Amino acid sequence: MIARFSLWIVLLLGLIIGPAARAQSTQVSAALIDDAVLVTSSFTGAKVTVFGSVRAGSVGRTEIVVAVRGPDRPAWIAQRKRTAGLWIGKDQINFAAAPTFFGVASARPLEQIAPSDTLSLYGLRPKGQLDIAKASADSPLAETLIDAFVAQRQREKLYVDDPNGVKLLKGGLFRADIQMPDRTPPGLYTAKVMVFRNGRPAQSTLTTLVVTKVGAERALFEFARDHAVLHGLAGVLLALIAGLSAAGIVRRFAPG
Amino acid sequence: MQVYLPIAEMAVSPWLMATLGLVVGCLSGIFGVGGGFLMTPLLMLMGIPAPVAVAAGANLAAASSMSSVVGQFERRGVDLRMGLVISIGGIIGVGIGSLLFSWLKSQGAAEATVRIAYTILLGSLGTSLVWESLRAIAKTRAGGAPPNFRRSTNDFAHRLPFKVRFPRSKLVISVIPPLAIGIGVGILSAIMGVGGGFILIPALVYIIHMPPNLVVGTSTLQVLITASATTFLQSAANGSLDLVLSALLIVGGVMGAQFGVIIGRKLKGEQLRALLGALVLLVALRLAADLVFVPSTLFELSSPGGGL
Repeated sequence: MIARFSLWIVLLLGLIIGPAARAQSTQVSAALIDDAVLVTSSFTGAKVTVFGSVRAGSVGRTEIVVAVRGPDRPAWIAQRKRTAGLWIGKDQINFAAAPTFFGVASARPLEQIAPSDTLSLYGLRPKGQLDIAKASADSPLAETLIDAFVAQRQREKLYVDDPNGVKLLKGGLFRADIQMPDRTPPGLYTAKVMVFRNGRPAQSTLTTLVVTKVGAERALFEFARDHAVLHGLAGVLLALIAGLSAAGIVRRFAPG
Repeated sequence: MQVYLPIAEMAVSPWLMATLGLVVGCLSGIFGVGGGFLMTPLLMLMGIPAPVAVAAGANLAAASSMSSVVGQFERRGVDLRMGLVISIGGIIGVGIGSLLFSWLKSQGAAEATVRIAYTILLGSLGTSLVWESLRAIAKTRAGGAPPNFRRSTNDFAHRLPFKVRFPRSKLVISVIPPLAIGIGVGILSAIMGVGGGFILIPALVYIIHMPPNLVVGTSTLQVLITASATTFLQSAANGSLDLVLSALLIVGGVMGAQFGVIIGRKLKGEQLRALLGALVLLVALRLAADLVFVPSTLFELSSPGGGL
């Protein structure tokens, strides 16, 4: 259903942008292999694959950049500081919203594709995606803390920048792979495909994918959310029964 | 192999979690402590969001103490009346502690207070436990009788009003000291997110003068009640209880607790207290190092799944 819907969107976009694109002689269409990622009990992350084709003029160099962005959530970062000889203080800034996942794939390092300001303007840099809370914006340490935040999330593979993630195939076809780790939360994800011509953005298309819990994971999550009191009692009951039965088993096999 | 945790929203190795539960459960069985003061920081080190780690630690403590309290009851090692009196105080203390904690939080002093309090409390407790028990061991080796903690019947616990009989402990003392100890432990456990067994044991020995063979069982009962209450509150109020994580930790934990009780039976009271003191001292030194030396991570940040 969603697959068919997004296909229609791609076709519709093609119809609308088609004439304009022909004038620029650059045209791109793309689709996700899977537009739903299922989180089961063995979920350890997922690979998002985008297939597409680009038709471009013969002059200059064409580059494909694919960005996948996870749902926004509030976030904070703090830097420890020494107070009276002890490491007890900290400077903190808060983000009203920060993408939980931000992955960019390209065939070459991004800096070689377009100037840095262009990349930021078109939302291909995680730093530009962070929405700092008003109260934190004036902090003199904001710049340092934002950089540290991005660096830490890059270490955790939540913000990824893969310069080998896009494979250019024959006849203007391309394939982009972006790896999401297990910690990417469920929600609506956006995938953006951008075409650069000679360092300038020429064309782009958007599509969405859903990351959703299924089966036992979903049942447990919904039970915890909708019946918090029963869920708590279940936790206590689990502890009591497990404790009792362990005592029983051990007494049987190791009496005394 | 990895298993995905529905509330923490991340994947963990089930074997690692079960082993962790086994080790902490074993300590819990030996000493009659819940193990929350070890498990909760360990889980957070692995990247599990803090509220989820606190709930899981409490749930494990409840299971381990349930597992070992059965054996303690059978060996008549629990003073039920004393345990209940302390637990009533504990529940009052948890309420006071929660209010105190939100006040500290509003003053922006919560984290610093908790870290310094932890270091001082664990440091002094560990030192006195090790010191006292080493002296007792040396005395026994020298041929003397082990020191008698119930030396004084003219203690302040006997002079206060509202006297209650504790037949199992063969004590007739005022209800105020055990209630006050319970409140104190409750406040500390609400602020520090621990069961409080490691504070309760020395309090029962040195303040209440309980017979040594009842100390571990009674404190285990109190940990069972406090940890169950914390588990329930964490789920009902914060939605931070992850049953998959709990189940993994508990499978290892309850077995570990059984081994712990067996090991604990083979050790003498002084040896037990020396070991617990050494363990508490180690944790305190680790915390002190964090306060004094440049920490390994200068930055800390929220995880996508929670920990806000």
